Amino acid sequence: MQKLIETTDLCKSYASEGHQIHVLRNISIDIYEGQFTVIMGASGSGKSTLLYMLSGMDTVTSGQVSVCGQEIHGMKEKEVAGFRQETAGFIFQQMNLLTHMTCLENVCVAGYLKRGRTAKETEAEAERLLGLTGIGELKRRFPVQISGGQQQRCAVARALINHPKVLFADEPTGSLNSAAGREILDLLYHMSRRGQNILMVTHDLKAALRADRILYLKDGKIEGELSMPPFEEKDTDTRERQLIGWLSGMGW
Amino acid sequence: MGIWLIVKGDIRKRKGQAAIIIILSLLISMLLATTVSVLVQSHEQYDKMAEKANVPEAVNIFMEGQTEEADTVFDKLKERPETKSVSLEDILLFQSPSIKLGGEEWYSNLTILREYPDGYELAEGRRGEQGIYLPISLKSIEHIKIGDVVVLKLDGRVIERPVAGFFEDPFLGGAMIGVKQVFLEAEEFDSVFYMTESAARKGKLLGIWTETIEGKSFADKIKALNKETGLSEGGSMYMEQSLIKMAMLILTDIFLSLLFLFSLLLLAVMLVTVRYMLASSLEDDYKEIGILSTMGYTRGRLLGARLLQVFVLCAVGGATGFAGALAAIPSFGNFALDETGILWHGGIAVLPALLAVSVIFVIVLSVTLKSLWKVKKISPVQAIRNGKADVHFKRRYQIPLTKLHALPLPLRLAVKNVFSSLPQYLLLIVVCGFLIFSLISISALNENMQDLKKTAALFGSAVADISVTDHLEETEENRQKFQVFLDKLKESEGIEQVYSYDQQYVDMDGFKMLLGIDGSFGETTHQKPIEGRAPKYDNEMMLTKIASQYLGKEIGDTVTISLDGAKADFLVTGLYQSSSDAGKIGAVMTEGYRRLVPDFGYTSCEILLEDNKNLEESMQEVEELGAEEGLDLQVEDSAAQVNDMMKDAQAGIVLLVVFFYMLSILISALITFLLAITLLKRQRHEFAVYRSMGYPVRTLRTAFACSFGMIGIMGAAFGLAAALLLTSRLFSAIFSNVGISEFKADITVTAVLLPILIITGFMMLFSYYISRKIRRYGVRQLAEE
Repeated sequence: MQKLIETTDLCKSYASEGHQIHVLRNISIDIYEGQFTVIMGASGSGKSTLLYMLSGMDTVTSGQVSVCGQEIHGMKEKEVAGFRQETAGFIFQQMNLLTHMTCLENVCVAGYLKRGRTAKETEAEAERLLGLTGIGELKRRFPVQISGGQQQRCAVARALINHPKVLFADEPTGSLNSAAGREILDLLYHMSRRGQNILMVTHDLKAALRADRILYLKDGKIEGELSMPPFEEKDTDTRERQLIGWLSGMGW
Repeated sequence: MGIWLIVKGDIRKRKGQAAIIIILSLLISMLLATTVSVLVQSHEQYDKMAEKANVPEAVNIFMEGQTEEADTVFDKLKERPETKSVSLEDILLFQSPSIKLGGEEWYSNLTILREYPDGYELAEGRRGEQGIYLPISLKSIEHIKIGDVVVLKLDGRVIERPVAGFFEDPFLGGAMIGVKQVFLEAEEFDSVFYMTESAARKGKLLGIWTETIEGKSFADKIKALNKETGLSEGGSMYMEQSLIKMAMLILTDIFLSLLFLFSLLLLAVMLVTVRYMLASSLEDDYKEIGILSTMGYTRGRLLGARLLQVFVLCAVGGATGFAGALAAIPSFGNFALDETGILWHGGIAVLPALLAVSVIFVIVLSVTLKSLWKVKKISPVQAIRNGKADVHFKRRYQIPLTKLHALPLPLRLAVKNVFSSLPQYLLLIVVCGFLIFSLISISALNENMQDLKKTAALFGSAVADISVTDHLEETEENRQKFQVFLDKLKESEGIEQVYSYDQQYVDMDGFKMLLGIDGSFGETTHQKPIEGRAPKYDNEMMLTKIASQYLGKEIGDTVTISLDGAKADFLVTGLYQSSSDAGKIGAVMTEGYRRLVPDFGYTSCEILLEDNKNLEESMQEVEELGAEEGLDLQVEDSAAQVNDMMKDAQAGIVLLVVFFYMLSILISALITFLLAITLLKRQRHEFAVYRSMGYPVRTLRTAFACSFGMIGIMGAAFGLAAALLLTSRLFSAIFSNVGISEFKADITVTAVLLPILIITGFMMLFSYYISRKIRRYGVRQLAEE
């Protein structure tokens, strides 16, 4: 398998009230193409920080991060912007849709950045993605007019509009009810099976069930990893038991 | 104590907004205190100076051949109960080119040489020198200094006297009065006067002071004196002190009126700003207000705290502005009075200035109170639980992003942002509109003033390229010669128009007033009726609106005009406007005037050229044509003359324009800063989202600046509409006291485009600069750990 993301001795620390807080300590991991990878960990373990650094959304204190062969640490502002346009798509826990724009506009506003595609083509692609995520008929609605689950679907469509190499998802079901959460996970899994590389952070066991590979983060370090066969609905209980067992071993 | 704590905390929290309120209060109080002080004190100083110099309430100048008449009127005046005192003194009269200043030609309508009168004090120089004393205004108008030589031409002799000093002149010292007076010591004057043989140079100055009579106004007393003594029928130039004062302070009053209006504009800006700031701070602190309510603070106290906060900030700004006014007033006063003939001796007019500033702040606090009233409606539980609800999307104006393909991406985002959050930008649209309105108006005034022909037309004066005056004795033969010259001139090549115009003081319904005599009503740009029609027959006349009000005569009424015993009735057919004698003037046709003076003929004319590029050549040709007819012509460049008179007013207007622009740029910077900081704070989440999608900071900053550019354009539309609707009315109100009751502002493309480009451009620049903060709005803040 080809490496998609590679980190070497990745560290992140903050200064707070005169003390240095080390959030991530010497993390060296590889994420591979074609996989649905999940990072798990307890609250405060640094999993979101890791995701933000892997996606170029945050700076590293030391170490290296390479995504699709591109070293993203030390990139200039313009290069980072280009990286986000071309390589990375991001889904947040709080959706972060632009409230003054309709669903279609929220997707298009990201799509307009892609070079070599006309505005019309972008809009057609946005409509296709909104259809794919199941909210095609809601494209003229504003975020406040649709449910949380529908908002997150819109956020997924927005993240995919430029066909990124990796889709980063930070607790995408964290603020949704269980039914809506399951729908989003199904959608992500569906995308993953269609070849979309996904790296997701979650502390939700059910969310992690669909992963091909799970990394466990504890106190800023990778404590262990678990590889699982492709997810099938009928194996849910077995996978869940296996995952709980593994997580218990990790001290979850 | 608790309230004070809240006030301090709130000011600390919104330092930028607090600074803006302080700066605006400072600017308003400084400008207002300065303007009001200079306005009040310039008039007070004039009155004091006029009293000290014993300036007559009315003067009549008797020229060649009128000196006996002057003696008769003088004797009659002494006998009248309306007369408190009357004076008659010998004077010598000079006109260009018979007088030169500092070796240069001096364009002078009339210069009176007098014996140094009591009451006049020198502002510079010493008495008792063998020299001539000039009004102080000539120092700045003509750039004369002590020791420069004044040349007087008398009976073919040339008398040269060095300038020995400058005096403040509350009588004829102003730049806007065509007549000037210069003094010689008594012995010097006597020797010059008695060695002068030419009666043409000798005249008499009659001064009148009236008694205070209960129930009788000055006009009533003068009317009675005119009727009983023939005062209004004699003399060549009649002036009343009120008119002199007005003419002297006209430029000062106009400049100060404009500055006063600008202070009011700043007030409007401040009111809009305060309302916006309070609305946004209430929105931000909605929850805090709820929390404070639960602690036991009444909503009244919370409202009071915010009111106190605005009061404290205004007081700090106001006090600083007052202190600034104290420092600024001397130089501003000197600038304002520079060409009035008197110097600035005043300071701050404490009471009027305080009153004006207090009124302004009462207005600000009233608006503050009204804006804060909603505090009383905040429910603590609801505030704590929900905070301020988001503005609902239905209240927004939506322009689909997908319909804006033609625009570049930053502009697309700007359009979307501005229209979906229009209420947030209303403050800037209104302020921008006000600023652009004021700049368009002042630029329009400037453009009108810089173009001499436009200015002349505006003020009802003659518009010409060349002025011609015949200096031959006024005989029937010479008048015929001049008429032949006129006829030939009209046939000459390159001449667009030749017309004659004269003025004469006459008695109109018992008042001595100026009468214009026009040989070409309707053909020239001046003296066009603004109501009714121009005279067509010899028994018709026009009055200015001001003269019509003064005489109480309307279109259709009859006015009796008398001069040197002749009397005729004229039907008022129209109203026009003119700045001559502050608008107290009427006009008749040449034939109409001949009903009073049958042998009247013109001895001067104005020439409009088809093309004035070869002015010198044309002047030469006119002179040659006059010489062929045996005339003694004085041919002058009209534009140069008018330019000479107008240059200081023009320079003043230019200064005012620069001042308005600088202040407008400063205000737009302040308001842009205020709004940009607020918007950046509110939209930082959005910026982080945009950046997470891959939007470069530069694109977002450009979009942000474009939003302000759009606001500028919207404000410009509002400002332009206001300018088109109000500018003429505004200037009509300001200029109405100088005879221009209908000011038609010529709003040119430059006058419109320049303010729009400058204000919009600066707003975009300021907002782009401030938006560098977007760099700090990283994606990290979107992280939910």
